Amino acid sequence: MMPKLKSKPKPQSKRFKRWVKIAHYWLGAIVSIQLLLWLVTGVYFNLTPHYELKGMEYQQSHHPEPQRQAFEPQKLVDITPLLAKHTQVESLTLVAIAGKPVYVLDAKVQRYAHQCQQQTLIDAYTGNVLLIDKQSAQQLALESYTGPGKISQVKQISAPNSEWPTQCNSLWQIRMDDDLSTRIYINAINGELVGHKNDHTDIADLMFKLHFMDYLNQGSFNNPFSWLFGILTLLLSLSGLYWVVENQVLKRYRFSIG
Amino acid sequence: MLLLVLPIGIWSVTGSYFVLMDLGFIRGDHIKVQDSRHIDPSQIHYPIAAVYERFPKAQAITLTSVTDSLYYRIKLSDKSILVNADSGKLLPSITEKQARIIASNYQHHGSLPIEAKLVSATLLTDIAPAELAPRYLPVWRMDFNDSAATSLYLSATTGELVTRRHDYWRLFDLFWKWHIMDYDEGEAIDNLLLLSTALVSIVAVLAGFVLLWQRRRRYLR
Repeated sequence: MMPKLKSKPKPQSKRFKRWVKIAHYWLGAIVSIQLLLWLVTGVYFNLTPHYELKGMEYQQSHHPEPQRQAFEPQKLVDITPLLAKHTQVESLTLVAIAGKPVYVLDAKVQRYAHQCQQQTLIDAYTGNVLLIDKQSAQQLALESYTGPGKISQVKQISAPNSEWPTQCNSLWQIRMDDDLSTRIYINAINGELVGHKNDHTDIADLMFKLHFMDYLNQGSFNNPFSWLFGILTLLLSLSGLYWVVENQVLKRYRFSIG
Repeated sequence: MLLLVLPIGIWSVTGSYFVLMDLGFIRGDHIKVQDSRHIDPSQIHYPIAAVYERFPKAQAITLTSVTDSLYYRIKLSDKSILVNADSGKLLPSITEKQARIIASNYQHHGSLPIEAKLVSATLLTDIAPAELAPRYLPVWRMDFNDSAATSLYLSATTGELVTRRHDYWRLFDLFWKWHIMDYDEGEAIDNLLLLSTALVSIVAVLAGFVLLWQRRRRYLR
């Protein structure tokens, strides 16, 4: 790999070697704390069960069976006049929301649920616009909940929200008075379950924040802190690798077995 | 301790790749249809109530455009199917011709390049490649010859784009396996090799702290 090292050291290569060591020392000093954080949080992710990281403790893992809430087909309003009134619609979906048939009109189908949804909900029996009010948010929250608690507080929160940094839609937050202080989040636009948060996810989210260096709470690891420390750590490893190879070539290591 | 050169080196290379490459680009968020098609209600001659009567166990019934026609996409517990909104006829499956039309809708400026050629259209029915979740089968795999070797996976029952892959994402997936040191499945983050290596590395970093202090005179001049 490095034949130069075996021949007589040139002054430049000597200076380069000195620089590698100085760089390694200072890179190590700068990166050290974060390196420790990466490793400790990495061990945490390794040891923590998936359901704890995702707040699944009291979350219904499967959708409620659809046949439970059978609608009466003859009562469903015709969609043709509805779509003549709402012209900018890419897709119309009939779903059950809190046991009632609802048409979801989507003006722009998005790839991710956290993106700003351009949806209108229509009561499929009356044809009237339906809003996810406090009462239906509570009902939807309870449908997703398997824990022992009762609802202690309900409030609507607008984006951005520190617990869901990438969420663009306003949410209903339903607090449960259980042992994990569960918070259930329902999308206020379309009634979908966003997820559960609890004491476990408080720790998990902090660990993710430290691992991703997401110190500005952007919900992403593509951030300037990560860029800088990623490159510095790369240089730290490369300078260390260089040093190891150099030591090996100069036979500085003395291994003894047994 | 010397053996740690390898895992720490891998963590820094793969971690730097993750943070430096925009995740939205990796996931191919830029690959999308150019213009959205709005529903023309005059094309609907088969009422949604009739669809619901035929499929009362549907979890969702979605009226949407597929190629040039309107279809009801019916989501059942184990699969999704299409029913023509004009005739009420069941669409048995997406043909290769339809798959090619759907795929070409993703080719435009800022998305999949127009110059890219579709080099193969393969119907996968039984075995999914590692980059596709088997639950999506059957699918049309549409391979393009752009510089990132993009593949679009279109559901053969609904025509939906179920996933996509390009070489930057494939490299990301490979690096992810290396990053979590799971060399067989690539998903089990709770493996013992990762745990033990990370624990030894913590000792190494702590040793580094000692060295930082011991060697301070040499470097702090």
